[in-house]
Order: sequence, then structure tokens, then C-alpha cells
Amino acid sequence: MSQISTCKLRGLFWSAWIFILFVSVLDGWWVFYCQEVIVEFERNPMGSTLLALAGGDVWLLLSLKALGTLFACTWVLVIYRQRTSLGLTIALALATFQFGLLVYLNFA
Amino acid sequence: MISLPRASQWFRALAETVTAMLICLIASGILFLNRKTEPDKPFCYAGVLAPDRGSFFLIAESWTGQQSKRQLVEACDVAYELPKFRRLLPEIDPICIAAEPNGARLFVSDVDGNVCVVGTDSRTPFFLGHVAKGNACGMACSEDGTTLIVRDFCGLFAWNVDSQSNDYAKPRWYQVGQTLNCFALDPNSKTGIAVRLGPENSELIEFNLRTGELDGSIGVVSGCVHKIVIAPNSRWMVALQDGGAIQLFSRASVELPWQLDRIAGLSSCPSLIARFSADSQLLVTGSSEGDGLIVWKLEQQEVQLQTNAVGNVIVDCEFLDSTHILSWTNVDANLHIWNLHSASPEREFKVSLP
Repeated sequence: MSQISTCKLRGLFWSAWIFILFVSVLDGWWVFYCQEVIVEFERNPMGSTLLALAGGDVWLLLSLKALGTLFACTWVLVIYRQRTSLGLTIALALATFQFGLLVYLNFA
Repeated sequence: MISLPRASQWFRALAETVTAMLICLIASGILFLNRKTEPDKPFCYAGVLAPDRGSFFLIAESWTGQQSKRQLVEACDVAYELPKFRRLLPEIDPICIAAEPNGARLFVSDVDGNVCVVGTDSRTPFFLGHVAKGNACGMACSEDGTTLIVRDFCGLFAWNVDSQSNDYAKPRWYQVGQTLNCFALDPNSKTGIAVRLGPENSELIEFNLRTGELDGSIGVVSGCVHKIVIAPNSRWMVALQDGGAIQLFSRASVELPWQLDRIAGLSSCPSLIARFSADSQLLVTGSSEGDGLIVWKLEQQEVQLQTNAVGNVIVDCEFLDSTHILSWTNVDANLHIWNLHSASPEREFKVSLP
């Protein structure tokens, strides 16, 4: 019983973790795809600042976005291996946020 | 309490993250590669012809994903089989255009209300100024090419665009605080007619092109007039109203005010099309469905031709010469050239964005 529960929790964590990565990469594709008009439509103030710093180009935003995603997902993975419940909680919280972002990207 | 992870744990986690990220990159990339990489079909909603130069300038809106982008496009050699399309002024987000009657200059207004003039040969924009509120809703250049009238949500603005004048590019006058819904310029380059909206009707007011003074009412039309067009010979004027109703006016002499002159069966057109031929003998309006054209002989007050439907709503049209009309549709941005003796388009081509 305990093994099944552990197995489910592990599945839940990896699903949430891969979902976080996937949405982040998808968002990156959107930025790349809409790079000609992204300056007008970027709503994130940090994103707008990075676009302004790069003179309207998307390379700085995409680079930092990739680095940030790499760092966050690596960190969540390390935490999960040290304290499963905390890692799972963080992963689920991030996945919920990413789900909101996915809905915004597709329907807003 | 979390103990500090060893470097090997970090490297392992990093390697797993990089691998997963690459897989996600490929998977989501496939999703995007399956999308159309080219922009969707453009949406055409404004155009002007530069006579004698064979160029047609249009504002096309293209969609990439959920983002739209407007651009000014020149279609060269529209009278020939293979017109060439090129993009003009990429730095401008155009919303309104007008051409000088001789075709030498183009006037463009952007979404921020800036108005600039562009030589159709030089293609270098020169900033004239900006309107007071929002963006320009209508622009027209006087027949002699000396005055540009721009309408925004506040009223009318006039610029001196006479390149020989010392006051070139300076504002001439403005008329604000009036609910002027549309305007048209007389071919004499001295007067124009503006439409002032009332609660239930529209008042047609003559104004002086040089000074902007309102010279008085020349008539009242019931309902809301959205567009007026004056014929090149100043004998006819057409008003397009709410719901696409069309009314024709005539005047027997310059002194007399306009008299409403209904043509029996004059259609209503949802797309507000009304163009006179250069000799003022013909009037083109849209069909009641908006996807065709009706050509009227004004003297005889009868229909000369009703074209077949083209599938989408025709936004507007222009006379290319005495026997050919260029029209453009909205959602597929198709240009059609009609021969006035035939109900079907003589030629048809799509706007291809550069």
C-alpha cells in the first residue's frame, strides 16, 4: 500500500516537474515566434525590461528565461531528493502557476 | 532541515533537467512547426490609388498566431498582369491613408495620431504633426494639393501641404468641439462639406478650406451620415447613411443648395462604397450584400451593370480609367479589376505581403 502511494507521489512529482519545463519551453517558443511584435504585447515587466535592454531583440529574454528554467527545475529536483514532501509541494505550486500561464498564453 | 547537496547531486539533477528540457524543446518545437510558419492571409481595410503612377497603396493587417500587425503595402503596376508588392515605411503602424490627387504624395497617419507625408518616389516620410485625440479617422487632400484635412474624434485639422509655400507643413486651422462625422472636399479646392450629427439627423455644412470657417448649412438629412462623396464635376453628391442607405444629391448651379435626388432602386450597401467616374457620369456603389458592385448611369438614373458576387465584402473601389474599376475585399485581401462591360472580374490577384 505504502509502495503504491510512494509510486503515485513520484509520478505526480515527475508529471508536475516535466509540465513546468514544458510550459516554460512553450512560452519561449511563443516569444521566438512572435518576436517581431513581442515588444508591444509582453505583459511581464521583467520581460519588457529585458526586451528594452536588448533593443527589442529577444535573445536576452530567451537566454535568461532558459537559464532561469534550468536553475529552478534543477533546484526543485535536488530538494525533492532530499525532502520529498517539500519538493513535491514546490513542484505542484510551480505547476499550478505554469498552468495559469498556459491558459493565459492560449486564451487571453 | 535540508542538508547542503553534494556537487554530484547538483550535476545529476542538472543533467536530468537539461535532457528533459531538450526533449520538451523538440516536442513543443514540433507543435510549432506544425503551425503555419507564414502569416495568415492579410486583412485589407484601406486603400488609395496614386493615379497616373499605376500604384495602389493599401493598409493590410496580417495575423501571426494571435498577434496582428498592420503594414503599408504598395502594389505596383496594378493595371498589368503581375503586380509587384512591396512594403513601405516599416517604422509606421498605419491606420489611415490618403493620396494627393496627382499621385505625387501619400499622407499616412499611424495609431498614435501622427500624420506624415511621403513622396511616392522618394518614400521618405516627413512628419507633419499629430491630431488631438486618438488617431485619424479620415484624411483627404485638396485637388490642388495644397491642403490636407484630417478628421479625428474631436474635429477637423488642416495642414498646409503646398510645397511651394513658406508655410509648408504648418497647421492651417482646426475645428474642434463639433461632432463632425465625416467630410468631403469640393474639386474647386476652396470649400468642403462636413457632416454634423444631430440627435436624429445630419446637417451638411459647407466650410472654407483655407480658413476653416463654417459657411453655413446646406441641408439636413435624416439619420446618421457616415460618408459623403462629391463628384469631380461638383454636380452630384452622395451620402451614405446608417444601415448602408444611399442618397444622391444634385445641384443645378453653384449658387443653389444641394437638392436631394433619389434614384429609384438605389441600393443600400453595408460597406459604404461610393465612387464617381472622372467624368462624373457613373457612380459605383456596393451591392446590398456588399460583395458586389453596382454601376449607375447618373444622367439616365439607371443601372448600367451589376457585378457578380466575389465571396467576401468589398471594402472599397477606385476607377482605374473610364472603363476599369479596381476593388478590394476585406478578409482575403483580394484585388479585382472589373471591366465596366462585364459582370465578372477581368482579373483577380491576392495581396502578397513582402
